[in-house]
Amino acid sequence: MFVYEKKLQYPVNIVNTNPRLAAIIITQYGGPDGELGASLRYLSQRYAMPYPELKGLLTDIGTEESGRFDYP
Amino acid sequence: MKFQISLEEEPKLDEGTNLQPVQAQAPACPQTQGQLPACAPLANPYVPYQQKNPTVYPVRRGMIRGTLFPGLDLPFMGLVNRTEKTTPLNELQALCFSLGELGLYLDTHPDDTQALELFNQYNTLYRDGVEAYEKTYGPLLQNNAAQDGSYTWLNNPWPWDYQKAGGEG
Repeated sequence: MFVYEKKLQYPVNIVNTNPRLAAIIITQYGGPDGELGASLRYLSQRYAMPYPELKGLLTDIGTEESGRFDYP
Repeated sequence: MKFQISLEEEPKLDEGTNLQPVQAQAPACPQTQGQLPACAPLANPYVPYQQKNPTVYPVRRGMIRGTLFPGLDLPFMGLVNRTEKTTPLNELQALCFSLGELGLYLDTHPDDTQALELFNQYNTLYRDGVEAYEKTYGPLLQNNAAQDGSYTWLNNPWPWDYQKAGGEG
């Protein structure tokens, strides 16, 4: 379940805005090899995972990956 | 030409006891190293098992290194952040990061009582920290947005508003 926290995972202070760079970076969120796809793969694969510790790992890694693409 | 697959030659995965790390006869590895199985199938890549009771960085240091564990601290191209930030929010971010790291470790080492203790300790610190932070800077969770009788969730700044002094945008 997704819960929004009004803070970033890592401190970022924007010095200059750069829309062209932003257009490239946003593909790392939602593009074909982006964090969104990665997190969903972890979270889907855990349904077939027989080992409890790896079930937990896939859940936590998938959640952490979502934390990276979740918008600030 | 027809390929034939012989079922008899299939590896019997149920007999895979050799995949367990052999703690008993293996020499004790240094803190920053893990353990590999003594016997293992050929031509398979391995990730060594992280050992129990690993040393940990202090929370802020873990945050800038990108890992709580010195044994896993392998910076890409030798590039790392150097500045430890000391804002109240960064304190929370560092604690939150350390909790995530310990959570991942505990997934595979659930019996490590030292790690459990640290996990609980950081959790308490984080909970108290969030409470103190929200009193001064506003809610981090929407659930806490009306504690003083008015709805403060919409107040600025939002996380994308933080800017370094001297920037243009």
